[in-house]
Amino acid sequence: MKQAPEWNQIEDNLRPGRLSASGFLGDDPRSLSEIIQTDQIALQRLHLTDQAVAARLRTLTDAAKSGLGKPVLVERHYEVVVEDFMGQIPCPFRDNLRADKRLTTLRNLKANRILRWSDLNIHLIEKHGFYEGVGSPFRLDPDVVSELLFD
Amino acid sequence: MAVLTTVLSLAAVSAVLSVFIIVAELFLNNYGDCQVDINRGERKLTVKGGDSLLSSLSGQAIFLPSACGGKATCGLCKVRVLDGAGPLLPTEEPYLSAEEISQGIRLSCQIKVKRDLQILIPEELFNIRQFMTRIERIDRLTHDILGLRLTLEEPDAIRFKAGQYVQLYTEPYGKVKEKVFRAYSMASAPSDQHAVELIVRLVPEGICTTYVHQVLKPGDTVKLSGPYGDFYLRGACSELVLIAGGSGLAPIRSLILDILEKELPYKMTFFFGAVRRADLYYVQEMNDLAARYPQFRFIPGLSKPEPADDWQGETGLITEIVSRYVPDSQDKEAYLCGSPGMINACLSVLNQKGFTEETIFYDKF
Repeated sequence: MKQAPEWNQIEDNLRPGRLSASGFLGDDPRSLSEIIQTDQIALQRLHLTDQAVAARLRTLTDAAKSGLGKPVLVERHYEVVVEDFMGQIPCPFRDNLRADKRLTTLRNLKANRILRWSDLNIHLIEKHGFYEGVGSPFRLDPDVVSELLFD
Repeated sequence: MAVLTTVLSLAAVSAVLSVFIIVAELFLNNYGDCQVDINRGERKLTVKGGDSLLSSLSGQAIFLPSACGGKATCGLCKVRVLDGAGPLLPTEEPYLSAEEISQGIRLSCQIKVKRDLQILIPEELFNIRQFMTRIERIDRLTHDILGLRLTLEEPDAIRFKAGQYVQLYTEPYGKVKEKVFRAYSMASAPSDQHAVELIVRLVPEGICTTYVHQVLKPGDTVKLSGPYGDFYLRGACSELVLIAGGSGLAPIRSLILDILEKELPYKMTFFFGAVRRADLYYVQEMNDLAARYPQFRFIPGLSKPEPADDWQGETGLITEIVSRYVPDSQDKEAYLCGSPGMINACLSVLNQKGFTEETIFYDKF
């Protein structure tokens, strides 16, 4: 699928080694615009928006920040650990945003499944509707997000 | 026939356009040689235009500090530009105060060298060297922290202040085609001049930490530059409060070893915070030092020990433990190293105890 030239430049930033070891596209053969479009269709089906997902992720991260790496029980059935690391990572979409290197790991105790995300994930979803490519270590599949965080 | 003619015509036009673009790029992106005047004539360099000022200077063996490898996320690579840089970029603004901007302070990683430049840099940066080292030993300290001991080969000795850091340079690996560099505090004592010890915590998907954890092995060569940083002992006090978490133990260890070796007259309390026992390391070494030196006290603390830990030590967040043991800031200085969250939480507690900006020290990146 053809996409605007500026998206090609952004795709370069999303590749392995530019901003992260594995990059943000995984082994997804689709173009960036296709990846985003497909996930947007999924969100519509799930009656969710990028803003709602980002807000939910942020709420859960904020609830566990004070634990300083210790697991925190949130909303009775989430065990959440927030770890932060020195430094920041720039947004690959070239909007001058720098995200703290903060990792949130959530265990949904009812489903006994784990989901993790970074502060950069929250920004990529909220501002760019980007959930990362299939196979990317930090991909947040909308169906999984809906199942584990909006139950 | 008409189709063939059309196809051939299109191919010819494409070829001509391609040649035009290549030639244009050669002229438009070719800035030629540029002169960089440092400190009003103290050093004059000739560099090839087109690269960032940060990398142009390092190509001439002048190494500016950077924790992020030139990605404009640490703000450490500041220089004062007298003439020759382009306009201030939005990527620089978050790291510069209004006063700095008015003085011409810029991030060198964001300045593309396109013409002659005049800059000012601190004199001490001329002392920073590049070192070729060889990995002598890699120790698994915790599930996500490695300790490295690197023997210096060329040059074979380093002079640094306890608390300072070096920059470690990676080589391409796997799908990572670019070289990067990142900052790591030295964990060894300055007296250990022919080697450097580093403590590296794996950052998930971090380019440099993945290289250290998954690629490097004993015997490999590693390039370092340094020493950098202004996290070192000031010591206008009689007592030191030292706080670390995770890989933040590195510069604190260097400070402790240096102070004890030199028999400096400070009472020290070292608070080392972790979640569970498996996250602690160098515990035996610190306990041995505490047993040997009455002026040194070691207090490890766990925020959520597991039953199998059989933990008899302090429990709670590091902030709670510090608050229990440190009554006030009287004649004390505090040195912190760890995650941003830990540092922010500790700053809040220390401020409540009366510590001020003048008596709290930490790496700000």
